Amino acid sequence: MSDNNLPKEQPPESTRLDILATLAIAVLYMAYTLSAIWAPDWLASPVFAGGPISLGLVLGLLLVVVIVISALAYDGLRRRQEKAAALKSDLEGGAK
Amino acid sequence: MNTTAFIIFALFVLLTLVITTFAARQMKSRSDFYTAGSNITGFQNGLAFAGDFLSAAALLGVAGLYYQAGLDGLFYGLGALIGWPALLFLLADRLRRLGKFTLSDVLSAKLSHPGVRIFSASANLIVLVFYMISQVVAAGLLVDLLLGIDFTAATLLVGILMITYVVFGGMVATTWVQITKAAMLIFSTVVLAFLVLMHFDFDIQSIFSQAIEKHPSGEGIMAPGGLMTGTGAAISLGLTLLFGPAGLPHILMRFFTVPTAAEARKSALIAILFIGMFCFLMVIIGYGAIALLTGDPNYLDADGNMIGGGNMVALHLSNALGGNILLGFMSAVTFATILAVVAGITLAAAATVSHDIYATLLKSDGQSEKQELLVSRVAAVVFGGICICLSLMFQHQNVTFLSVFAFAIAASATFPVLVMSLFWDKLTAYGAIWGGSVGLVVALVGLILGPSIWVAVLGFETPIFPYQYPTIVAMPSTFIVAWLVSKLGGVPAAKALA
Repeated sequence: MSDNNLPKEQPPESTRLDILATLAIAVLYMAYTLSAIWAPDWLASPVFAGGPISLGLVLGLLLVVVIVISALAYDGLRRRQEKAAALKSDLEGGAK
Repeated sequence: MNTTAFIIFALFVLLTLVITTFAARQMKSRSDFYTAGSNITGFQNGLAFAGDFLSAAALLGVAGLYYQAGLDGLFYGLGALIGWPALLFLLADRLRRLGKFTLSDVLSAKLSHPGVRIFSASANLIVLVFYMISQVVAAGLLVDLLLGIDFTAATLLVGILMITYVVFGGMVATTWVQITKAAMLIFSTVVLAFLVLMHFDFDIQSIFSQAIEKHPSGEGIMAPGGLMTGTGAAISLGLTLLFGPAGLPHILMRFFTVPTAAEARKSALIAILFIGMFCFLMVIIGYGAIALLTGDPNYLDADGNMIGGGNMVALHLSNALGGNILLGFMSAVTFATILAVVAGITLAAAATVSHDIYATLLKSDGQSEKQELLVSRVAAVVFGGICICLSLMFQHQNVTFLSVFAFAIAASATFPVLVMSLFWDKLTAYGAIWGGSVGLVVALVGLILGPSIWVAVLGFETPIFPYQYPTIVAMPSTFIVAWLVSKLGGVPAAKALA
């Protein structure tokens, strides 16, 4: 079973979203990485006064959470788009 | 030799051989061999993807880095996850829609020029050979250390098993071996993290407090250390980790094993979920190792160094919290990890030789599936044999630079050409060939003149090219040359697929 008979191209609005989402994650990751060079003391500062957990650790794990949530949101959005496209296609087929 | 580890490993090998036997019975066509007949579900494929990325380095290396330098372990550990957004957002759907068996099929769907397939096949084989040798040498050393099996015997064992999986079981066996190993790895990591948390009465703050108290660097383990050496090096490393995985042939080939584009997307999503969870668990394991192993004479030698080296941290922690059984399980999982990864690489190389070079370029006038399958199997044996021989030759050399090279080429040459072919209709075949070739050469020259070869291998004092990864120069070179040559035009244009 294959869907290679489906349209080969993504819709343009999806392409923009795909590129923007990739760039957004890339910029966040680069910012986090570069902050280790430009602002190591800031990353070393504790999140709560007197507590052991540093801002660098929290931001790193936050980046993991952002990637996971953006992946879930992206997949959900694409599924909705595909369902809407399939519905539209069915309606157009019915009208003909 | 650790008997528990050996028994668990022997059981794993037995299970994988049973899987291979079942897979061999199912295999009837080249589609079954290359892509498991596209019958793998999104969840299964996601687990196999996670297995490809959660390597021995991800477990042992990252745990060791946490133990040694604290927060740097997180910077390094993110490397397994950070390439996935590009794979999910840019490639998953599109590859599944355009591709059939290999990455070259995707490029050829857009650019119908034999030169494109030649470039793609050449780049793929270079990436796969270098990646494979680094993996097999690491496997031999690791098995020698963990199970007490001699390097040559361990390398031959790895070679024979990987060739058996691929030749008899194709992608079905390779994928299920990867799934089995991924499940074992994730299970053992969850158990280890749970035991660490239980030891500290599920008080996460006390793990970090005790780690700070015991580590010689004190609060320094909560800050970035010396992993990032400068802005240029950080950007180059970042580009390699962000886009390198999206150019690795054995990873991209997995997108063709699922039936639909939606399942391809789902498999990338599942991989992100598992690898993300792994990043969190490694924080607990890493800092837990500092808190529990630092100063413990059972795991330190006379000089105060970790017995067996820094990479043994996760295994010592397993022994400290779960005794010999958990240690044996973790050791066996580590070996299983390497086996599964090299089998995937061998299959991708066999597909490149038989499908891209033999069937499409040399015998383009047509040949039977049976012939192509025979060539695939012969290619797997020859590729595996060559890599085993090279690994035995290089066993005393530092071959870390080979895996660096594989990632750098993937990010510098393969990824830009792939992404331009998917997103820019004006890319020409000559643009792709020239752009990719220039990226390949620049990556090679940068690597030879950089610290990985110029200093570490050739013994010069200072490198001519300052960064370990040449991606910061090579990747833009590919984009610029491909754009420029395409703009000059007049040659076969990208086929618009409506």
